[in-house]
Amino acid sequence: MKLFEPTKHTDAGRQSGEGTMEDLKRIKVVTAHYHSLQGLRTLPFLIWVLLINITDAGEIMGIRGMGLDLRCLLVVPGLGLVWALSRWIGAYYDRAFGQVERLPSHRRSLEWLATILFGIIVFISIWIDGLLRLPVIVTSLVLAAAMAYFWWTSHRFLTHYLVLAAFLVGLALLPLLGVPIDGRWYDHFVSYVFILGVFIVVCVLNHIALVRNVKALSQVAS
Amino acid sequence: MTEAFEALAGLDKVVHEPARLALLTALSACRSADFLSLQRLTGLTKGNLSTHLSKLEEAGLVEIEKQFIGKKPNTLVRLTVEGRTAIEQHWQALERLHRDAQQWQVDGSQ
Repeated sequence: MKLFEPTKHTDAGRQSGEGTMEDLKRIKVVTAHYHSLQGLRTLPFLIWVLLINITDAGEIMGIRGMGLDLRCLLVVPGLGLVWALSRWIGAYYDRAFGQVERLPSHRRSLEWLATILFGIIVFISIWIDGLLRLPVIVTSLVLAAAMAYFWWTSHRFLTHYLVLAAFLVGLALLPLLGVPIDGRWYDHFVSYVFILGVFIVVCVLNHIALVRNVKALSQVAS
Repeated sequence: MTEAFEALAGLDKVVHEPARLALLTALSACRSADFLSLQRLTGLTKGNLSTHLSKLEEAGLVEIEKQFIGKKPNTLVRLTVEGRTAIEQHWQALERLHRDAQQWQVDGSQ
């Protein structure tokens, strides 16, 4: 299985119309996720939050003074930079890919419900990881389940979500291989850096998926 | 099998043309899309896209709104209620035909 692979039009597939049906489904999925596939839009904000948390982690680990100064620098000018970068990236997407307005929220009620449910489950899993110290990282398993669900609802076109899900399951099992699951680093890793890191990777992969899928669709048309 | 051929013959030609089917499919997954995004999603040239959109507008399946964003012209396209119904029914018919076609292959190979 290759990531972002365009539909192969085999003779048998052509006869049954499978290739065309797959392309139409791809168009539907890419259009429905057009905004979320523009992953670079949220990247500056996520990196900003990650930097704030890393400096916070630095302070916890005993690198005092530097953390505080860095945070002062990051909060005010950092936010301005995030805003400017996001605007610039947004303008790039509008210029290169055009604009798609998503379906009204009442037509996406299931999506909203899944997002709220996911948020609650992540919160509970962070709490479980911090409190119970199970031999697996529950947050990682929850994120893996969410990625797999997203892959499934995208008619299995957005393959990178499945690859990430497999990676997260592997990470979740690290404590079983002897990686220690106590100490403050673990709390920080699970609750902030880890989740933010996953979202940053998702954003970048989403952007690549958008570019590759649009390219694949234009090849089909030509 | 005769029923399937009748169903094939009964497909709306305005909707079933590949480029227009691609456009309507894209539009069914969103509230509205501008000209550039439709071009990217379907890979059509400007001229082709314009022609197909005009045909869909004439058939009452899409609404086209021309506006300016700053100084730049922007064409916004959205499905009408009739357009949304037409594409949903068309997809159901295609899925049905697809299932039937797979059934013929299974029967043929036995």
